[in-house]
Amino acid sequence: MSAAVQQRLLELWETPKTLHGLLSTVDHKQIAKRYIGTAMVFLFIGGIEALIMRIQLARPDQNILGPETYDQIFTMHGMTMIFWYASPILSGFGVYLVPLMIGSRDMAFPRLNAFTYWTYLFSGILLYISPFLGQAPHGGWFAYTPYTSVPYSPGWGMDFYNTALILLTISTTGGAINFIVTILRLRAPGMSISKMPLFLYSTLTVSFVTVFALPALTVANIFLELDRRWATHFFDFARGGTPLLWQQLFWFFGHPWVYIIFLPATGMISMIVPVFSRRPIVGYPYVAVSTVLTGLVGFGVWVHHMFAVGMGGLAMSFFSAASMTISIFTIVQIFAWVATIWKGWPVLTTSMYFALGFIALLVVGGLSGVVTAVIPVDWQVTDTYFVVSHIHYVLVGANMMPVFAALYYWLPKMTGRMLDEKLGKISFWIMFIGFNLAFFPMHILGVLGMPRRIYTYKAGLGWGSTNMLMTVGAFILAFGILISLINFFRSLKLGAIAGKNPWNADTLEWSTESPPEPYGSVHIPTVISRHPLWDEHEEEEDPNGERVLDQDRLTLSSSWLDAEVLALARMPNDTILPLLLAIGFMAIFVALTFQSMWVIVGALVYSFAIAAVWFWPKPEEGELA
Amino acid sequence: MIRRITLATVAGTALAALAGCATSRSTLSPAGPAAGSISWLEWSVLIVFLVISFIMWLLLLWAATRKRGSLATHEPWNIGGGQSWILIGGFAIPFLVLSAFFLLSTVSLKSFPVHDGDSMHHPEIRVIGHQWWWEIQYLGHPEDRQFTTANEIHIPVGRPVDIELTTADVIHSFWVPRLHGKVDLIPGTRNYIHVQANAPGNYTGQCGEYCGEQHAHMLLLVVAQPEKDYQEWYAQQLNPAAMPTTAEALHGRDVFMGAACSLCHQIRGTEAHGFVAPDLTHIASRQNIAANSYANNTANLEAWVTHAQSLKPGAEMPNLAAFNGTDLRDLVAFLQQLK
Repeated sequence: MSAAVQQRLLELWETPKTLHGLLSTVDHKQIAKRYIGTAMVFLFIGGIEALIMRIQLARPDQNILGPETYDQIFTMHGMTMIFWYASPILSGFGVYLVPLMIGSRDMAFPRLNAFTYWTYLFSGILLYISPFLGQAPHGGWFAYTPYTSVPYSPGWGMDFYNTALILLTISTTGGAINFIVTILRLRAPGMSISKMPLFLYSTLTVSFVTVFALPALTVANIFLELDRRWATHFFDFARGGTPLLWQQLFWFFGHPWVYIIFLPATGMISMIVPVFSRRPIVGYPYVAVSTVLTGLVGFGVWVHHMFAVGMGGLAMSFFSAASMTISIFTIVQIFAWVATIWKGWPVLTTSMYFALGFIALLVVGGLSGVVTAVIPVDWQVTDTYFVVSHIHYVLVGANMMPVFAALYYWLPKMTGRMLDEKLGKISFWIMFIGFNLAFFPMHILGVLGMPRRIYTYKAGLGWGSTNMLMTVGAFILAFGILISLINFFRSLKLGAIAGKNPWNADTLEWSTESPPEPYGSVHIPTVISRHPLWDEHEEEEDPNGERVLDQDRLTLSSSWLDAEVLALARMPNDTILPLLLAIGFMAIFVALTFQSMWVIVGALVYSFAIAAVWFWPKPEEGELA
Repeated sequence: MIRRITLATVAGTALAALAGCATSRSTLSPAGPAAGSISWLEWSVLIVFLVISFIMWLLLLWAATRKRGSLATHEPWNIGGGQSWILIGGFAIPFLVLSAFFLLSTVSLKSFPVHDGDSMHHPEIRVIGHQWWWEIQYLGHPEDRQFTTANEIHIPVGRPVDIELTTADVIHSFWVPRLHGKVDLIPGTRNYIHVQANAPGNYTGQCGEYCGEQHAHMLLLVVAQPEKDYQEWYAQQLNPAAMPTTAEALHGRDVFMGAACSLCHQIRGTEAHGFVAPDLTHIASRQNIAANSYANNTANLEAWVTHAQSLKPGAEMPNLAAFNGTDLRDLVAFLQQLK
């Protein structure tokens, strides 16, 4: 019976391994692997850009790069890492893990899921057309006007900046909505909101933050593009606009964005640290509430990026206080992890190494953030290498370290093969040492007065040897990352077989096969505690086969607070429409970059037609619902 | 023992670097009251930053290594405990430390009259940012006490000087680390800064906001002088340009006026009335050229006239390679007598 059921589920859910299957799959696991793979490619590209900059800055008065090239590279490095690596890699883990963790068969909107991946990929391609025209954006990832307006940036670079980002915001917003509905509506029966794994809290929080913060960026990009090519004057002081409007809009989005690429990573750590401390996390409610509050208060700190623009003391003090308050929520999480390790029985796997490394770097990055929240001190260190150091401690420390912890932890689930622990630990130590060599001295340089975003500096300022040290550190860091990449590819063939639950972990994704079957688990699980695989309850206990759902592509929909079963949700079949629509969007935004009106009109008509086919009511599908 | 010596040496070197020498731009070697009160605050946050980081690293290492578990077993799923860590380490201690810093920050904010509105200010100097140099206007009263110069600000020692900041193009930031933190120059906005130096000397600054290709070469020099020297300098700057006396300088003047130079640069007392480039009336009195990127000497002046785009790619100053031989030598001789 069981084999026949599995066969039936497989026939329902499996995507054929053909070209058409590849392009039309809506399986969250396949899409997630593409997200992660694509984001890693962007990490690689952004890393190369970083190394090129470090070579240029290794010694004073170097001319390996001209100023314009350097400006383009530091802009592309920032955009690539912040927009096309740091957030999508977390989306990738989310798309893979969220349905498995909640015992659903897929995301709530599988076709939207495919569409958001394709638009993410295409927006990255759109951005990377620009360097091949010799006109990459050069205004920094923050793109302050009026420098980015046409009189000072006449080329196509800043147009690529705008159109690629708008296309990406469409993708990211769609993805966030998908996460919200999935987490609130598809949780396994019994997984009430107080029993959700903490990773879901962070993913849910950042998804809401995304939906409310990202429009500010979209609006800013649209205003800037209108100013640049369509004769408006939002940011043009001479015609009644105001340049500071850009900064307000950008940082109203920009600071919540910092938490968007940080919180899911803390969520991962809140999964990994307890498993390798062999006990439930200390203070689950504190961590959950801190996560949500970080998302909320994250909307009230953006002005701390603008302390030097000249504003009243009261306004600045408010944002300084909010910035300090928000750090308390992070400190609460840090102490929850430390207490978990202290009270638990640590097992020092590679994944745990990276988790510990993350906490160590986050402490430094968080504290240097507090330094910059003290307003008069910020006037000195803002726009210096002190802030470069701070941002890399929090972004590399709090994004890349957890991502590597997550790779070592969850890749065995995705590939079915274990990574080599010895190689992993070597990689960790090289990365950790390289990172600190590359970034800690930046604190000192900043205090010594070295500004950011300069393509060269004079000899005789005493900055040379420190810069050389940092360049060496950057290459050591890159080498450490390379070892982990080798470890990954090696594991695909040579890694030990992982089995269902190699870490003896507590959450539902570990009850599936490694790699999971296309349908996830045979019986939709039921949950009675926060640690389904550690408690005595049998999740897949289902003697009457009521939760097999093998009549069609189905999954269970449940209430958002208590996760009581509400209905059967019919999931869509594989379709190539998301790809076709994403191609239409790509065409629109390429044409917008160059203002080719007829192409824009054509692409719009094409996209409407595809969307009409996609959303055309299909009566035969309604019967089951 | 050896270890301790090494540590002491490293710490000593770092401190010496932070304390800074004459060319320093260290934010921790203040030369005026504003930078002074910031550096005091900065030292205290930096020390707390380092000490807490160190303690947390030790705590983490201790927690991770004091026991060893195994993947085969785990604690019961419903075990509790450990909340006091969060309440003490996560709430109580950070709340106290952060409150202290917030109070310090807010109190010290009062001593900076930077951002308290326009009406109270009587600026002596107006600084206008340009890509990539600084226009400096001295706003004396009456009007015949006013003049314009570039890239080098002279101030009297020992009293605050009220400076108005704005920009002619993109956003820049006024930053002389040993005197004051950054204040931005924003189109359509006037910001103010009180700069005071306690001792005579040269204080280097640099544009603090990314402003384009030559952001790296937009340097600023503040020269603090005793009041008497300052008044002498001021009187000298008020004068129109010196009349050339030598044959070379006279010829150089004709070269300057006959070429494109006078379309962009101004030399008061001559027919050169350009206003898009630095005022050259007293160029020879300035220590550096090209927004303090190069020392003001014959070789650099010649190189700047003929190959500005190699020295400062992207700057508005074109390569005037047509000047050579006698013309170039005499042109530079003319500039060098504009004291």
